[in-house]
Amino acid sequence: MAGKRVLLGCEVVETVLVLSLLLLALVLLFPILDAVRLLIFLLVVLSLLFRWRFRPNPSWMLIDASLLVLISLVVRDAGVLLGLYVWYFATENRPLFALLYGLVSFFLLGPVLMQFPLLCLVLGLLLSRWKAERRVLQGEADALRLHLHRLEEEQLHLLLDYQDAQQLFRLEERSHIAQILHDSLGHELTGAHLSGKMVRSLLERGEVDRARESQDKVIDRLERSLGQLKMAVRDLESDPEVEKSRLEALLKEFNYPVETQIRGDLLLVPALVRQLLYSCLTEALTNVAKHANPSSVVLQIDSSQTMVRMMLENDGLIREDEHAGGNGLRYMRRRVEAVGGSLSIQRAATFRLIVVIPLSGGY
Amino acid sequence: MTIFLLALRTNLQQKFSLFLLVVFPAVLLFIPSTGGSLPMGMSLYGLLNFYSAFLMTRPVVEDRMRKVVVRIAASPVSHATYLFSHLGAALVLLASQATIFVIASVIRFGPSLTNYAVLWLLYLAYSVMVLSFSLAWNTMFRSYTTSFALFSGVGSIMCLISGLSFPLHLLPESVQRLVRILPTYWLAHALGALYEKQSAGILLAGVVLLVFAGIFLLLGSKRRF
Repeated sequence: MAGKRVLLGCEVVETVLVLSLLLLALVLLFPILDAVRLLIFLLVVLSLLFRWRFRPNPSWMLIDASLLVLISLVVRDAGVLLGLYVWYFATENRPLFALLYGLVSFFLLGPVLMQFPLLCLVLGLLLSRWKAERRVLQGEADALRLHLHRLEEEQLHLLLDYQDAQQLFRLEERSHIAQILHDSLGHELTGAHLSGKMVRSLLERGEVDRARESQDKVIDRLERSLGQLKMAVRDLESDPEVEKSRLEALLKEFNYPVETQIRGDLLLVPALVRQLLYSCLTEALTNVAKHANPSSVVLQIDSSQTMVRMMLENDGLIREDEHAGGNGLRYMRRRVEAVGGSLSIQRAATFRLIVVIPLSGGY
Repeated sequence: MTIFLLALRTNLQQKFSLFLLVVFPAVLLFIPSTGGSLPMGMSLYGLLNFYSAFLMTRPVVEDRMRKVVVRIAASPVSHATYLFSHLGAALVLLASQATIFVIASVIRFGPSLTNYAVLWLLYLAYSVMVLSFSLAWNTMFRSYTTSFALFSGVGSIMCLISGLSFPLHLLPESVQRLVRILPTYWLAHALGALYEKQSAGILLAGVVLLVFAGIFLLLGSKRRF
């Protein structure tokens, strides 16, 4: 079982450090702690808490620190609390103020107590550096997130463009069919129609031989039309053999052996859906190669009159990638949903990708 | 109905409210003095006030548990208005409790025992402190039951070692020095100063109580969902 990773963030470290420093200041003051010194200590805590809650400009803390300096001139050793202000200025990226009050405390305190402001200064400066670096990293992460967001937007636009192009292609295809029908069949059928009329008028006039001759012409024309119609349909349809060899090549070239089970006649599936399934399979196999180390990959395709279902199952998942991005999957899902289908994922001991597309739509 | 009135009504509807506000303070007056100090009931009142304040903050915790604060965050009512209405209502009740107790003390011990006006002001400062403390304490817990269970132990110990429910001078010297950092100690300290008529000591203790209140208020007023 993968354990939850606990990250020691900058805020947590800062809180722990400030609490430790407060405690240390209290311990240092404790031998001489009377009501007045406790009150001064509490006021310093109050001023730090106020900054923590309301985040005013750090320079306002100069007033509090200066007041403490004045109090320290009267109340002996209260200047040790200046260390807390030194810490505050150092962490808030005000090193000059921190150094100033560090120097003041040097004059106010003895050599032993002087170590506390010094410790606060060092820790504060280190934390300040850490915060600065984190800000830079956060900025970069934000820029990357923005870039990713824009890429996703672009991808969505591309998908919409793809759907528009498909629609245009369909219209163009219809126009092409109409042209073929007009060019190839139009003349022949018109000729057959006229010849048929002629047969009738010849029969009415009793010219049977000529009528028979015309009838033969009608039959010839109709046979030619039928032949041309067959040729036109063959031109429009994709070649199932080419598609089959393309699929076989894809599975053969894949890094791992794929056990393939195909049920039903794929030729009954419209060419557009077949193309979509092929794209999904390509993407799914790429994902398997990237995110798994499988010992078994199974591909099942079931087609019926109403729907086609494709399932790709693999084991050997790499756990670290469990929550990884998945732009390819997202894009694939959008394409499948665009034709009224669905794409689902089952992640357990194995990874299953299931694509279901209904065949009721007019493709 | 304003949030203040709603909070007032919710607090009064709690089972023990009337007992805490009227009956228990009266009972405390009959506890005998240990001598050399004000009557024991006056410091024990600090313990009673501590628990009363904790019960008064219950609606705030329950609002958080029932996600009412989320709805309030989406409404035009600011968090500060909501919080200060609740704290104001609780403070009115605690101030009433202190008033009842002080009046009853005047009747029980006579007007010459001590300066009752200063005593009332001290109780008021202490009420503000314990109310803020309860608020800050409750922010650490998601469930009121857990919060109360731990508070009843910690609160009792705090009051015991800081001289509210046990005479401070009977405690070891080292403990007496250590308990100065406890906020509850400063009521006992102020009562001692009041008995000895040391104005500076009373004033200092009152200010310390209010500074503690400020600290706890800053900690407890941060909005949590």
